Amino acid sequence: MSAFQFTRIHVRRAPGCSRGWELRNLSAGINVIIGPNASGKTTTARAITSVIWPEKAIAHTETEAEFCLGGKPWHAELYGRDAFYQLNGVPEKRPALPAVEALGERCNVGLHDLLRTEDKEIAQSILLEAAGNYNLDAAGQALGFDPNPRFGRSSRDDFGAAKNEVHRITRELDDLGSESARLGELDAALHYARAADERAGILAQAIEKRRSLEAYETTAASLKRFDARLAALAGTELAQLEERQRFFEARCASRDEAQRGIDNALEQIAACRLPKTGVAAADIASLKMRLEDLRRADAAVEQLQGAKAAAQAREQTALDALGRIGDTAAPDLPALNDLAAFVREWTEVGLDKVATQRWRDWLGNVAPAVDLDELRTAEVVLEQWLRTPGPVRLTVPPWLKWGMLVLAVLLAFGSAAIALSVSPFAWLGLLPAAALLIMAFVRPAERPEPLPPTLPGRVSPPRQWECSSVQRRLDEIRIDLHRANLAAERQRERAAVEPAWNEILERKGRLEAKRRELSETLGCEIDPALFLLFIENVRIFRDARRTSAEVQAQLGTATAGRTEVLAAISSALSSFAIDASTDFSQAHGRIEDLVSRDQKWRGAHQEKDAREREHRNFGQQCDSLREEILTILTRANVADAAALDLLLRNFEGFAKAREEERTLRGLRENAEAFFRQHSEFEKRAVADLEREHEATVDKAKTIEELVAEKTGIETKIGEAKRRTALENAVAKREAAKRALLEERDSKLNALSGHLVLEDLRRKMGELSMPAVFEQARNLFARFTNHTWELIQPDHDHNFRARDSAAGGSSRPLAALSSGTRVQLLLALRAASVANDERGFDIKLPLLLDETLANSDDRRAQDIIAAIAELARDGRQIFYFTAQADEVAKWRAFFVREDVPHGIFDLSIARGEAAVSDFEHVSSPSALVVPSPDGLSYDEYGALLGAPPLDPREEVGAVHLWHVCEDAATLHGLLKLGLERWGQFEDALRHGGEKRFGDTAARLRANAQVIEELCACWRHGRGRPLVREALTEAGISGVFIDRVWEIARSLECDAAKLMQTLDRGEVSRLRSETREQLRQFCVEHGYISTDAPLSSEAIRYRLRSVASDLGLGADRADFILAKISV
Amino acid sequence: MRVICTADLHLGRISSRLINDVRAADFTARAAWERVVELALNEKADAVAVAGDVIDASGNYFEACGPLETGLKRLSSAGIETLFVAGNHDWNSLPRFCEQFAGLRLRLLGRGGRWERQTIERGDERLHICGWSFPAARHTENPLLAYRHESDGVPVLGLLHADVNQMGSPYGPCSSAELLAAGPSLWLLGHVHRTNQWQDAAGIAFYPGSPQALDPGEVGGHGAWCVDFHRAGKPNLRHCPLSTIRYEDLVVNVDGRNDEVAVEKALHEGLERMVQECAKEPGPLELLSCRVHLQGRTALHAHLALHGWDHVDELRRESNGITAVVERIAVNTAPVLDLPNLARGNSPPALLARFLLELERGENLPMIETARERLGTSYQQMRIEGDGEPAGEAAPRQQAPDLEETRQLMRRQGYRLLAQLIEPVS
Repeated sequence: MSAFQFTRIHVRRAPGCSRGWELRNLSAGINVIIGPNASGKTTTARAITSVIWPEKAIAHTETEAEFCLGGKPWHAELYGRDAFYQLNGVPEKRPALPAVEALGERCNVGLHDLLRTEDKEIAQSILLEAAGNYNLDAAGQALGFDPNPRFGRSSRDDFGAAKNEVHRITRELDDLGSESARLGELDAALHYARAADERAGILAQAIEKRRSLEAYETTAASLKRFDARLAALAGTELAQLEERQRFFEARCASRDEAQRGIDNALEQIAACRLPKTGVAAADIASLKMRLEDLRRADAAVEQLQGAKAAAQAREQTALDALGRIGDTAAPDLPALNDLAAFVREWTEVGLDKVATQRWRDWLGNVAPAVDLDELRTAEVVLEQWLRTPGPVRLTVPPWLKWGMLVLAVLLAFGSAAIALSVSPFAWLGLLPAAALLIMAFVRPAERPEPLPPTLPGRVSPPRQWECSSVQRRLDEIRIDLHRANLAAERQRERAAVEPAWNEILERKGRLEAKRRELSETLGCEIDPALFLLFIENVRIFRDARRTSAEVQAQLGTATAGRTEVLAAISSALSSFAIDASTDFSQAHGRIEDLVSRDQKWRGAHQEKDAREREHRNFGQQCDSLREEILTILTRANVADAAALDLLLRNFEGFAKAREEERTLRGLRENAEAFFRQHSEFEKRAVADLEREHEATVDKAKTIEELVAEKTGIETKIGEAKRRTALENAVAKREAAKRALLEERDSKLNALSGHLVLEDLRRKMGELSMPAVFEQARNLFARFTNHTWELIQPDHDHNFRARDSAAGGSSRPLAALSSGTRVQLLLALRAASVANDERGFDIKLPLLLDETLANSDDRRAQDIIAAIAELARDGRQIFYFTAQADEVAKWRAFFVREDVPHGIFDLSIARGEAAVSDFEHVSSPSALVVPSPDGLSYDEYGALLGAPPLDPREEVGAVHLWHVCEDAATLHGLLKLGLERWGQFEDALRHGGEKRFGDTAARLRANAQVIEELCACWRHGRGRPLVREALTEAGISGVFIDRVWEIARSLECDAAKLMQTLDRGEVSRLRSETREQLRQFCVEHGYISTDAPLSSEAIRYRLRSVASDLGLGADRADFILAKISV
Repeated sequence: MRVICTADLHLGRISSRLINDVRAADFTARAAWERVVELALNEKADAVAVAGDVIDASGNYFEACGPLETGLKRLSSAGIETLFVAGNHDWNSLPRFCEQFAGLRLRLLGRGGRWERQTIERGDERLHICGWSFPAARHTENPLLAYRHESDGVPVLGLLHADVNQMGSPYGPCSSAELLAAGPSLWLLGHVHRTNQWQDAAGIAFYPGSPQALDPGEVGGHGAWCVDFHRAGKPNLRHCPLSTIRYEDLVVNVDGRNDEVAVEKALHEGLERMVQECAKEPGPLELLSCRVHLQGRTALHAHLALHGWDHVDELRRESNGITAVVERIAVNTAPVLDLPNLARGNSPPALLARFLLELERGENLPMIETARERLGTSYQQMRIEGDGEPAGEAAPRQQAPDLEETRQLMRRQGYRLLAQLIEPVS
């Protein structure tokens, strides 16, 4: 089988990581990847997996990798999910590998789960592992597969009820059909009854007509007994007569009253003393207009007088300010304008000079203290000296030195004693003692320090020619070099400013000369500031003088006009014998009096006309009433009211008789017509007719019953025709039946699924499981050094293991140690993976999470041994951990066992300052997670030192304190070593889903809201600016320090920086450079062109997401409050 | 001579799968009959011909009488004659109605299963109309066997309620070839609710379809036909849409659409396209009810297979007064999988992938026969009273699955299981 072995992995770009990292020289065996939390372990694992299965890569990641496959070198580059492969440097298709769906998850071994298995039913876990960790039962259950599908009671009941309803309505309609058949019989009976009814009606009419004839004859006879004159009267004539006489007297009185009114009006007209035609309205209007003209003329005169006084006052003030300079002493205005232009130029040049002077001062004029070339040479020389190999010192540790001394002394005394007592040859023993003394105290030869080099002229050498001193001096030189560069740059800038400065000085000199010239011309020293004031006062004086003259002329014109208007008013009033007026108020009073008299005159005339009309009207009415009284008396043929009263006393009886006769006359004509039509009744008496009528009415009595019965049936039919009960019931029945049919379809689908699953189980039992068990058995035996052997299970899946150490007796798996059980499960996982790899003749890497920290030593060793065995089989292993003691266990193992391996520190790989020193990290047992007892959630967060939520970071780096909601849950997660959301999510991916259950769902929902919050916050905000970006954007060395200082003070917000620069905070920074920087920031994402979302928009968005996830709005608000928007 | 042709009114029925926003009364067979009458008046037709199944069932007699009587009175007043034949649904109720309202200008042809001919004359134009009515609810003999054609140069319109090309049917079975060879220049047929037509040089036989679509199976446009007969040549047929509802099958391919937004967009686009197409056709159409069939490979398959599409109610489009809704979404998608590659292992997904590949290749698998038997047994246990009745052509299933259906069921459930194993959805 060819092994898929990574040799290099380079995470170039990943969300939430500011820079990439690279792991080189990866081992073909076990690679232990170490790194603290949030250091990129998960990202590295994901990168490894995505090289094998690009489908698993996440967006915005870039990965580069090198790997061996079948002994051939491959190179891969991934941009998101776009993968490009090369074989031997030539582009090549992706190598044929097992589908991600089959192995993508299983190559990531969640050893957490394997360890927890000790608490579970081991057999179940074994079966699950042997099935490739695919839970067929759970899948079938989730999909609703059902081996025995049956209808639900409710749908069958619904259908039954709907059918019954249709039957009920149908029965009702069938009954109605039977009833409708009787309608014919009813029609016949009704026809016969209606004929009788019609005959009875005619008989009743004949009886009535006969009686009408008899009544008429009686009434006509009684009418003939009354006075014949009454026939011409209506009975109301007496009342009419009295009323007319009353009206006649009243109208006569009114006519006399009108005559008196006419006389009074004539008297008032005479008292007004106006001509016969009165005063014309045009004359009144003309007088009022002239009066208004007079008022305006008065006001104009008054205003001009005020203006004249004001102009005279300004004139006087200006004269006072000029010191009584006469008109002729003031220079003419054009000359003053030239002088003013001179003064303005003087001021501008002065301001320009001050600004340029400040800039020159800021640039300074300090020449580099030391020559730049000399500094550069000195830097090179010192660097070379430092790179030269230093002296070698062979030193003897103190304990060894003193040990050798003691040994030498003992040897010397011993030799001396033997020499003196036994043999003189023993003096030779002094030689080794001397040698020991020399070795201990005589310094061996040292390699000499390199010779001090020569530094250029003015560069002073280090204090001593030793490494630290030289390094310090080198740093100083580098700082000097930087300063010298900066000074040189500023000198260049200052030199560029000099021509402008000189030009300003030159203009200043020219203006000074001109000032002196003007002073001589004017005969006094010109101070530009005072001279401006002088010119202004001259202007004021001249304006005031001119204004005064103009106002005087206008005043004369206005006075003449006023006199003219006054004369016209006096002339008009004289025609009404009114005296002339001298001023406005007099004229006004006289005109008002004239108007008043005219109004009275007009009122009296109107009164007189009205009274005259009344007088004529009342006179005519008196004549008419007299005529009416005469007419009434003539019609009654009487002389006066008394005779009329006597005649009308019998009128009531007469009128009654006459009315009755009229009524009966109509009935008589009607009856005669009836009998002409029905001649059979003409000669018959009333009694005869009444007898026949009674008999016929009896026959017609059944009509109502028949009609009622017929109407009842017809109503029912009519209602049935109008209603849609059966239509609706049939529709319901069809819907219920359809639901039942659909349910049956669904049930058949569920059974079909079950049959597929059953078939799959059968195939698993026949094909897959035996092979997996066989391979797992072999691996397990090797993992346990053939101490244990897995025995094939019986039909009830009772697993046992044979213990060779105990004479080959079999034991239940419960008797195995926890480490051995993990080895067994690991063997099953590896066998299951290998079973799927077989079709591709390949061996894929396995990725494992930290697990050993929570294990006792024995179990840890068992697990490590098992993993090492897999590596020896040629499978590359990646083991990720954040725990120092796990690294120690691995190190210890690698010392003992010859397994190809590598240990990689992600912190070093990422080039971060804080290098993880796993050799010296205290053991995890020393890590204490504080208990939240008695603390609120906020207090607990403070105790943990949870960092605030940074919306710039990816959600994976968010501390779990922000994601959790209660301290107990958080404490539990922290105890498991899960501190960040990314770690927890990774744990969930590796089988933690079941472990955390509802908590996982809740936290995932919270994390999604936080992720949404961060995304919303980042919308419209650029990424933080870095100094390198300023350089890349073209900010020169002269400005870079100042610009970067401002940027830092603005929290590296590029948008705010640009606003500051636009305000000119950095003087002399050219606008082109600013625009260049702005464009760079936009193009590289430091400035966003979108508007940031408002807090309300974010709140709405978060609430919406929270609602979709089943969280309340309060939770969204709580999370929103974590950052300031 | 102008005749308005229709059939299968089924007075007493109402279109199924309506939404709450519409007025149900507009979707009844009664309302459709009123629109047929209106059409005849507007077109100044000489006659209206109805090929059976006017009344849905004898129990509906009174409820059907009202609107039928009203409409026929209007037609009679305008001098338009109406000719019926009785179908299997109204074999007894339609003759009763015609007797009761004999005063109107209507005629039932072929009473008691005996061919009958009626001639209509308008000026110098003549048209023979011959018809045959169902003598009972079922009639297993071919009604054409008793037909005798007499040619006198006058165009002949045949009215027949029959099951064409369904040999052995209990509803007057006959073949289209027999119809075309029988003699009449046009056969107006009843029984099948969807429009269908056969023709040759001799004549035309056609099912006009019901004027109101009543069931999701009755897809396509529904209405009546305006037929102009000429002395010589074939009659001219013109379809007049009258149905207020239209059922359609909408196939939406979601190949490569791997998120809900993209799928939803495809659904909206499909619905929009469909409603725009329907809006082009004149008529009283108010509601377009689409049964969507999602097809293609998508990463959403696992979710769709388990939960279906959650937002059916939100899928709605309106155009020219037509509201288009989705009645149901049938998920026939497949996961985005490289089945041949996946099938190379021995894991459950690999075994399942192999099984699906075998199904796709159409291999004869022993388990299919076994599964068919199990499904047949289960079907019998869940038998519903009234199975097999022509209650609606879109009823989900009227018989136990055969081998091909069993294969499709296995395939669909196999894909669901595969998706669930690979990407468990809870």
